[in-house]
Amino acid sequence: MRLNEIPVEGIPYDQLKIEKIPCAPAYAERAPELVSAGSRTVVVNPNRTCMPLGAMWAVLGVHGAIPFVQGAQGCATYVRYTFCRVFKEPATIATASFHEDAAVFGGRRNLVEGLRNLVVRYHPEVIGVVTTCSSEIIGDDMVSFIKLARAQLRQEIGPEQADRIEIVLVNTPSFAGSHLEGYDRASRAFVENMATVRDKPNGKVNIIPGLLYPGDIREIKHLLRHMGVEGIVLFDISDPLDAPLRPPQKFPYEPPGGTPAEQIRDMANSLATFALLPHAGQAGARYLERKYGVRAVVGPPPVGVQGTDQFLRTLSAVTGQPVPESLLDERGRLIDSLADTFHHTMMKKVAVMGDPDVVLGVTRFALEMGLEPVALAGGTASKTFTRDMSVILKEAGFTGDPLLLNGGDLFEFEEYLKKLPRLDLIIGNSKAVDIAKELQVPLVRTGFPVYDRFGYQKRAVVGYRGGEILLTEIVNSILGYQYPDDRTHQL
Amino acid sequence: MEMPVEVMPERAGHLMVKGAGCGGDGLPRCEQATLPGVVSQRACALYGARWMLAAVKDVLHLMHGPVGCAWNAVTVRRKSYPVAATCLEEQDIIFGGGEKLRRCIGEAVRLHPGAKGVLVYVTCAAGLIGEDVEAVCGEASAELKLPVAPVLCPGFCGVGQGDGHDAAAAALLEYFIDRGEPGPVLANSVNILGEFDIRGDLQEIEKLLGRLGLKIICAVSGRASVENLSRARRAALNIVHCRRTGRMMAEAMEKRYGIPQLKVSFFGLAETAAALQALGRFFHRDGVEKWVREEATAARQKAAPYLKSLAGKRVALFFGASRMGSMARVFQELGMELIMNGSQFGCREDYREAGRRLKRGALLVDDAHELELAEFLRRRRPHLLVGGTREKFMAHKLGVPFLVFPQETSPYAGFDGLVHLAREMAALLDAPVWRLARPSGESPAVRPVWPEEIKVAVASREGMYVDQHFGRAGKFLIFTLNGRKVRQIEVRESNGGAADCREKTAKASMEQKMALLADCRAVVCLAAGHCARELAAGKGLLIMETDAAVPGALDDCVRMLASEEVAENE
Ligand code: SF4
Repeated sequence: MRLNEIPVEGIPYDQLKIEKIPCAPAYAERAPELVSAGSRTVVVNPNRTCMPLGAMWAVLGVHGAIPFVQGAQGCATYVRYTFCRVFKEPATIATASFHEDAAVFGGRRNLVEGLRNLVVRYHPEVIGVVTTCSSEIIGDDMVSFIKLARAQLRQEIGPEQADRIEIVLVNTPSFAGSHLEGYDRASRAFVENMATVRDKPNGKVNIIPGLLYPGDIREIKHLLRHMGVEGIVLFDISDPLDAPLRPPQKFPYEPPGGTPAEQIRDMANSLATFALLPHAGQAGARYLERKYGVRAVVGPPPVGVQGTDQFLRTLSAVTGQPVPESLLDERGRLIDSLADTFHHTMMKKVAVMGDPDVVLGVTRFALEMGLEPVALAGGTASKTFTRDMSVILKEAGFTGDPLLLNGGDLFEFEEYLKKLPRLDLIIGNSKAVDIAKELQVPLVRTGFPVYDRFGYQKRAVVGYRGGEILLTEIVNSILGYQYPDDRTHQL
Repeated sequence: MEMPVEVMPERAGHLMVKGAGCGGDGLPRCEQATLPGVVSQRACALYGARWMLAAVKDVLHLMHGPVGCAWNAVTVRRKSYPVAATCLEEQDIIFGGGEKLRRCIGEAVRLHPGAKGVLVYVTCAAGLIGEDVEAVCGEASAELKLPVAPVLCPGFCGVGQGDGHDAAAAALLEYFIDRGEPGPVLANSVNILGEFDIRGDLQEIEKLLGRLGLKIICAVSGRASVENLSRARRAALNIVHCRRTGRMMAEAMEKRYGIPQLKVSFFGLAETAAALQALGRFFHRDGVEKWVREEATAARQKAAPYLKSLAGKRVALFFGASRMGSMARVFQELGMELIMNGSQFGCREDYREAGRRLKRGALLVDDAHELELAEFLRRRRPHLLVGGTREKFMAHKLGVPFLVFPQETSPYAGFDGLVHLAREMAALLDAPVWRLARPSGESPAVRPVWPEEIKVAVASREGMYVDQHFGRAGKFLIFTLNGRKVRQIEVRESNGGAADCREKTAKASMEQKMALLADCRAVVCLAAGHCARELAAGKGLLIMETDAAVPGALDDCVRMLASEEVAENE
């Protein structure tokens, strides 16, 4: 299809003449009784991955920490590969290298030897032991294995050095939950193992960002700085996974930054814990609340005007610090951008996919822009997604009836979009590229993972300034799509 | 001829310095399980199977395992392929997933009516709950009247992705190739085994085969479909392009259908020429030599403008398995010096081939882990490292340009491919970023004027280069940094000692050195063991590793001290 043939009214599916996915040379409606993921067993193109990834992500955000994956090599290698492509950074992740013998006799030897090798070769300060489907099915008794490993380390490198290494176990059986739960469990495991009360509160707030990118975490820190609030960001990947290139590096290469162990210990003494993305982080926040009385503030994602407002308002209430003029100006600038562009965004049809919290945050912002959601797919099934989404839709006074996929897969999402009379835009991660290409609508990339374009991990979508970045991207995508010939439209 | 990396005793024999007389046949130990915990670059059997099969068209790819395996398996060689999955969950682990698999196969086929077969990948979880996937596939196949092939590639089987290659090859052979109709040999037809059409490689190869009048029936799996796989058994010749992924199939097809095989490489001028000549001989073509020579000359001319950027550059290779030898030749053909060759899971034959192409002092390594690679980069400073995406960003952080192979941009196969390779490599090496990244490019403002004199020790034999290991250094040159001036004031002798923390005398000699350098702020050396670094850290002595010339090294050291200072004051 040549560009100037793109109808402004969106593209009905029957007008598309592009290569379909290999299995279906021509589009025929697929067995309709099987299209909805709920009515079938098979999953086609999953919209989530498994727990260990989330836990590895978390561990990489701790200073001097290396994840150790108790499983076969692929689980670690695939995730390293994913992180490399998303962050364009090295990601050191060790694995127990299960082979047939481990499958038969269990992973004790692999863990004990593996931790020993990791310590003598890489000298981590913290090790996050992450389990997998294999070790959980075999039934490895991780707690006693780790004890054994530590005993051996004490012998080999001396008790003093061996005890200085924090070893935190995160149980992440891949056959339950998703990567979000892996991160969630890690947040709990780390505070449970490390947080300790001191006699004095520290006056800080804890932030558990969830699977947000370095750019987002920097933006959150920016907000804290302007509020005059000191924060502890747990799993602060902003430096380790967006590190400067300044050779000669100190050797061996150690990623800079990450949350220092000392700060994790101090999390028990903070004013409150903000779990920005509830599905990835609330377990840690709730634990701190139950055990140490640190107030847990779970969600909503600080995306868009109201999302960020809410975050700042709670932050202000918790700390007693007023929201400063500088941030109100930032808010005003975002509002100004909305005013300057809404005539392009109003009533445009948008589909959003990704992790449920991302979909919630982004949809709320999309509604602020006047976009009309037609399909919303949160890849991980959640108890709260449908409820929270209807609250957001109601709050915006939106009367449409978008498809809500709580869990489900991308096949279902795609089939639904194909039958819509009109779609202007998809917002989602790189896993939606094939759908956007097939439907020939623009894809605005956000969320995890984005690996087919550069720089998305470096910029924010959270906060007012992040909102401006996302808005810019959305508006420009719509313009590019509606006016493919640049000469026809001057903004 | 020192070993450029620290070798754990458990890794002994996996690394060989050519000509260092390490006994045996000079080949590294290989095809063994990875040490746990060392951050190896190897992947799992599922990864290997996907590498082999993802591009097979018109079949359904069904992952039998938890959601993560399926999510991971979508992307192969930077391309995404649709997958179906059983997404095993807790109750399936407890009660078994056979029934679920059966249902999934049926549903997936109904959803994809065009599918001409099904590949069922068995992952770790499915392998461990131990159900009879083959039986389920057999039943499904009878019911659906389609080949339903189990690919037995649970992640833990074998030592790395290689075992997945084999499982994939077995599945293709049994369920697709062998089920084709037998028939007379198709004249002038070939299969290419172990060719994945990366960035258009296959078109380049096809162009060349076309000149010989040869037709490709199928390429496994750059151009493979149920239809062409079923005709594969009638080929006149099997061309094996990648030994690791192609040989097993070639051997089976030779045994079963009497198809002869030919191992060639289409990378580089010499190898491509040799390949075409061998094919010409096999198919009794005349005049091959002449046009091949012309093509090679033409390509060499096209590559000529880039060669001066490549000449004499030190290059290190780290591949999956069997490309080591043939690719070594390509880089040498371009005038580069090979200082390391290695692979994740090569076999003895691969290493023998690779070893023959190495000069004295170069490193041959099996299953190098991340730190070994980093140490090598740091101490031998290649101008270029060639390998997979996982190694790329580490190299960049250490200031070493990196070429991803299998490649990311243009075809590297055939005569024209070499021109692409030369051009892209020249671009990588000459990229302005490496000049900008040099510390001397940073603003001089970071160099503070220290209030008092600061002493720095340099481990250098002659005072030209930093060329001494901290532990083994016999003397240190002591410099003072006063304000902006750097001045050598004395030489301090030490009694040498141990390079390895595990040596008995190590501790005493380290202590002695620490005392000798007690008044220094930093020591600049070629390398320092972990125990030295620990001791030094306790004493507030900064250690910097480099192999640069002394003045440049001092300059870097000043910057490092300055940035430490800034960090402390923050
Ligand atoms: S190692 Fe096993 S569980 Fe992990 S990705 Fe590979 S097949 Fe899946």
